[in-house]
Amino acid sequence: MTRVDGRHVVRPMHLTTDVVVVGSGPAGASVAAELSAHGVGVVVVEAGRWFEPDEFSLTAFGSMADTYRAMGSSLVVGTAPMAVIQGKMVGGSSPINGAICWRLPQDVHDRWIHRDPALRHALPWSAIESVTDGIEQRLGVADTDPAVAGPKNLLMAAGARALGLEHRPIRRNVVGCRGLGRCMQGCPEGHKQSVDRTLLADALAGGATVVSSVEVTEIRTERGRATGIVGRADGGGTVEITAGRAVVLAASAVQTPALLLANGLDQGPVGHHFQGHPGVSMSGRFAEPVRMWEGATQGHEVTGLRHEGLKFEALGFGPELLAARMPGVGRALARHIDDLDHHLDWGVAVKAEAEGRVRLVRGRPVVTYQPTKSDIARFRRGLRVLGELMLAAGAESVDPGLRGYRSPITDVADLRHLERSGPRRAAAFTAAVTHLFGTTRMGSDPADAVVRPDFRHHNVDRLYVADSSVFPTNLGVNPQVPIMAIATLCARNVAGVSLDHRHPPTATLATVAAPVRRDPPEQP
Amino acid sequence: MTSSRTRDADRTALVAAIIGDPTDLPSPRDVDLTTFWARFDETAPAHLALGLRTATVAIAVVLPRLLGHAQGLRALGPDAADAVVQRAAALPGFAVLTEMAKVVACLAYYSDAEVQALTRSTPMTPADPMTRSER
Repeated sequence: MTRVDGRHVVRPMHLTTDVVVVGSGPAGASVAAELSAHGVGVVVVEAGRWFEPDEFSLTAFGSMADTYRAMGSSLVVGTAPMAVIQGKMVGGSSPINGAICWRLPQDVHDRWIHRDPALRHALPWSAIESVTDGIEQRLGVADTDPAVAGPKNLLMAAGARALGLEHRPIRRNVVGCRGLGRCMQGCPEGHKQSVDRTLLADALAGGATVVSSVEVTEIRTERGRATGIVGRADGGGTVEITAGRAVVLAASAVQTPALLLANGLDQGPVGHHFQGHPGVSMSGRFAEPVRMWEGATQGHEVTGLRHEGLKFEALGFGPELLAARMPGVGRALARHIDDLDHHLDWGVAVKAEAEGRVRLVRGRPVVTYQPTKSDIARFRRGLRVLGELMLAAGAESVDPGLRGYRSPITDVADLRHLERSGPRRAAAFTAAVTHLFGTTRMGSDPADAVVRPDFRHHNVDRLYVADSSVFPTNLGVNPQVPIMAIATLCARNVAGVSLDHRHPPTATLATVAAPVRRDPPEQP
Repeated sequence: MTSSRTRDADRTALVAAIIGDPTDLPSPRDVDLTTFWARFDETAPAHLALGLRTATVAIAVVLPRLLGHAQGLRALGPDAADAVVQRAAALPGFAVLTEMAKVVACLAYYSDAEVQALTRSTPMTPADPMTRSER
């Protein structure tokens, strides 16, 4: 088990291994765990640093400063700038997400196959299901316990029941959760089974090395083959890793295409077809205190309109972000702050049809993205349904937070009016984009895809992409488990084992020590 | 005052004016934001730092003078400061800056340990980790 902290790497360092994995989020951790389990030597390189549960900040600001990329302030560029939320730490966004677990929906898989029949054999449904079973078991995925759900989740269930909409407790990767409501800041008690505590731990136990606080800047190639990477450690040293077997990119749908473009690997639509799940939210005031910051962070969801590309979730963030969501400034805001424990906020994630693009501008990734008219219509419909859910759950009033639109709303008829006659401009909505896909998508046609159906780059041998940028489309559901499943299949291609490989039930994921040769740092 | 102290005083005044005076929590004028600003300056990406700097100059320095005050926001009493931020929120061009500054103001105000403790006044259990001090 080896952990190298790049903050202390002040001199050049050289490692040699079989496979180097760029990124330690759900994709990178899954690749590392699977390869280690097959006895393949792995070094994982991560730009962020390790955090132990007792290191997580107790304020939203501290958490954003420590663990979110650009303090959570990255924006897509378009007529309506929207926040793009990404983690930057060992485990990627997994330690600071809402712990929501969905299996890959079969209807999404069917559409992928319909679009490119070659994917039927590359991504066999039976293998995805089997791998997902193992992931769910390893991560302790289970329904949210009503005992820790708290008012915000139980009220959503009540609202959905009253409207007759299909709903359910959210399945989460937590064990022993006490409902502290701190998933987005990192669980201070370590109950979330994020990949840094599960799959990456398995990889380490199997002999993998994780090098944190190192930003990868270069993909080394020789005669059309990827041979390794070069990175810059936060301590100032250069880190060079030679990989005898493969380089696997798993750095997210923004950073992976950016790294390819920065290295002149611009084959196919790299950076194109950026997709996501933009979300908008509705706040509501209840007569009784609801204390949004207490209870399971995200413990209930309404799934009845998923066929329309809408999924509704209880949200859970701290008082600072709820206060920022309240209308007004000055004394008007102070009145809401005095009343804050009566308010809560629910969101709708939209399976948007819009496609954006990741480009490099002065060496940094810039995402352009513009919701379509149809997406904006979904925003309005989503807000209407959120408002109806809240009123049905007993809210006295709701506030869609739309710029230039009257609020609060107390009547269902006004919500119908919002859907019918509300804003047509994306700029009227306060939206954030989560769950990013598609920028190095997989396919058999090199003109339409960046990687082959077996995850290999179309032009560069031994270069693989394992993260959600290979997904042909967005999912409409939370992607962390599908990302892990698909990345595991990528690892099986790298390892040269059957996609339907089944680990012995008694074995841990990582049982074989993998050799990593660490050269001594060169003296300056 | 040095330029950095002036900057801190201006943006602290902006935070106080945006938050108003909640009844049951400490006045934002009494919250010490020194540590918050130091951390913000250390970690904020360039576009965010520039955005806050622009909002501070526009709302805390320029707008009060446009509204007839001889001095900026930090010299104004609570009533006048409230009138300035209300106006900023309604003025085209200033509204988007006010919106951005409001998010930073809420993060800043709630970074105070007493504000957090009073807001989360009924911990789920005695072992609630909010009792730990912020690093």
